[in-house]
Amino acid sequence: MAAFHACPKGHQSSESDFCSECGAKIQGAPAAAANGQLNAASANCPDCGAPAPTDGSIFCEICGYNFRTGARGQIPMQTDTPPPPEPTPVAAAPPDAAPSPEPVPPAPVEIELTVTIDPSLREPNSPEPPADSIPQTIAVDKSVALIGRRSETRAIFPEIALDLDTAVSHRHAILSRSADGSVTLRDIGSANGTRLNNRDLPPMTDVAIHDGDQVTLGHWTRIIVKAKS
Amino acid sequence: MNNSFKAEVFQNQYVPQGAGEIHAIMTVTSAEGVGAATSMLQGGRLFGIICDISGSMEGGKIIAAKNAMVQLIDMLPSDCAFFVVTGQAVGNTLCPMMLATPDAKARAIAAVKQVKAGGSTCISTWLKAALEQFRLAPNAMRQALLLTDGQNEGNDEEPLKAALKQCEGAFQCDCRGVGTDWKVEELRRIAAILLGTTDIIAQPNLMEADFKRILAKALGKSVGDVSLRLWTPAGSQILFCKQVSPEIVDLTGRMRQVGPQVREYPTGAWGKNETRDYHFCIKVKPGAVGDEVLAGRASLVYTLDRVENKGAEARILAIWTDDEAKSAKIDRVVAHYTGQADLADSIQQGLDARARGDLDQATALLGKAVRVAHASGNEATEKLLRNVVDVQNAETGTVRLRANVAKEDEMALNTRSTKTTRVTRG
Repeated sequence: MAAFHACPKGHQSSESDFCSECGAKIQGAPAAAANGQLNAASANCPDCGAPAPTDGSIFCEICGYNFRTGARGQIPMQTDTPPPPEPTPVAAAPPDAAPSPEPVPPAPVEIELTVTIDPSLREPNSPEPPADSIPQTIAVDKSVALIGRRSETRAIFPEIALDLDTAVSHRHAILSRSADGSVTLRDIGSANGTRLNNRDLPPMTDVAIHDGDQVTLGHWTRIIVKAKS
Repeated sequence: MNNSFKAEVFQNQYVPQGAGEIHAIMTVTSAEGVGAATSMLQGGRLFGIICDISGSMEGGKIIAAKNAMVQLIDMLPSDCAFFVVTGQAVGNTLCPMMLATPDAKARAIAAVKQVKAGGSTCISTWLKAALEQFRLAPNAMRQALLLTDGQNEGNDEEPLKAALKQCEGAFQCDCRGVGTDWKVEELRRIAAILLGTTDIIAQPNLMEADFKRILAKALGKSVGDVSLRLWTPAGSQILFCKQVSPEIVDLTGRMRQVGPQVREYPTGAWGKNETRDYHFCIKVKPGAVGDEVLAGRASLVYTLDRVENKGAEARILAIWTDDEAKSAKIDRVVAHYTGQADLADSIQQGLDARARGDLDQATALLGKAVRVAHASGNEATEKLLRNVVDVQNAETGTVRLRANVAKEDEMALNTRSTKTTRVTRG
């Protein structure tokens, strides 16, 4: 097996599945079996000629041909597309197309969150908020930031850690910046919900947020958004 | 022989945009058939006994050690070679390497019975004496057992480092401390470099059973000098490589570069049906959304009849996505072992704080350890922790330090803190 396999980035790979230089996936390579051993038996899909999957899957990776029934495949499925957000905010990230072009570097929007404790948000059953806390300002420099509560056992380390408020879920919400610079907030199925400007957010939905918006969550946490472009 | 090892990878392949740190757990299991072929053992087996006979051993300990050695020699199968080194200020080769024939065993047992305790402890010289013997059989399965009861002489620090460097890769050695006058960190360091285990034998009368277990395990090994080979893409960096089960052993510093992108880590000898877990953390260049890249290709390699064998290939992937629901998830197995590593650190630092008299810090750390041990189902460690702290609430980690703790309980907790549980699957 002296033959080299052409890697999409132009290297000559000695491996047939992933480039031996840069690790890029080689086109027409067998399905990425992350687990287990390589199967020595190699066959090709009778429909499109792509190598048959070696991970025990019954479908052709490329065309979806069913090896067990011989049924013809369909159009290749996009497995990586996120569910379409319901009320689409002005600029949600476009669902990624198959040969995704180089993403435009995000426009430099600076996001600053001021985390305060507002005792007036307290429910009758909530514990007393700590009296001596001062507002915290967190600059969000990552394109994606998790809002939540630290958990060492579950290895959750949110960028915006609201450890004092026990009614905040460990994984509560996500703040993300899309390619065009707009910022969205998504409640990722938190136990007690998230409110934006006093309105409940539907879970798993991206909502655009702007300078001056106020996010309230947990027992008594209020986050004030400051965006500078 | 490619079916000797099987591998499975646990990871979240989805990486958020801009990130490049990939965590993965690789579970390796040696198959039933490993070592079934006798040719694997063409070099034979050599088992070394290295026993402390310094002055502090006098009394019950030396009697127990001599008895245990006699039993051990008696148990050796006749196709196995052995030697005995007794340790004082210098290491003395009491019985040089010989095949365990009935005659040789009888002579060795007679020599062991003559041993009298006295002198000081200088472990570097014992290791060097053992190394000389192991050099006589470079192709054998080379394993040893080291027993000591006291801490090493202060001026042996540098010589010990040098001796360990020489012994690294030359043989494997399980270390045992008897009584409570030895230093846990010292033995752990020796055992780590020599790819062995460390444990405490609190009472001399438990020695015999423990020795038998060690020998049985050593005789169960059927393929030696196995390395973990890891390929990573150009421009990437291996942040760490740790064995995380059955116990935590950091292999990061043991890396041997075998090619521009290929590194190997030693894993020692393997027996049949053995399972070990490894945790890799690899930093790769961040890709664009939708890119799929191989972040690592791991396999086990060993030499058999002068032919390199490779098995258990596993692939660690990275797929960049802008879907947070996918990338923010942490794999259950990765999270479990991250917690277990944290547990070991909390125990070691907590005991350290307790020894320094920083009781608040010790309570906090040991309390956290109780909580993690309880949550992860590590019952053995939780039980050892209960000897050191009074647990008021295991779920929240509310504990109170005990006023009177037996030294051996504290040392047992320290030595066994690196033992992990496997995640309950399914």
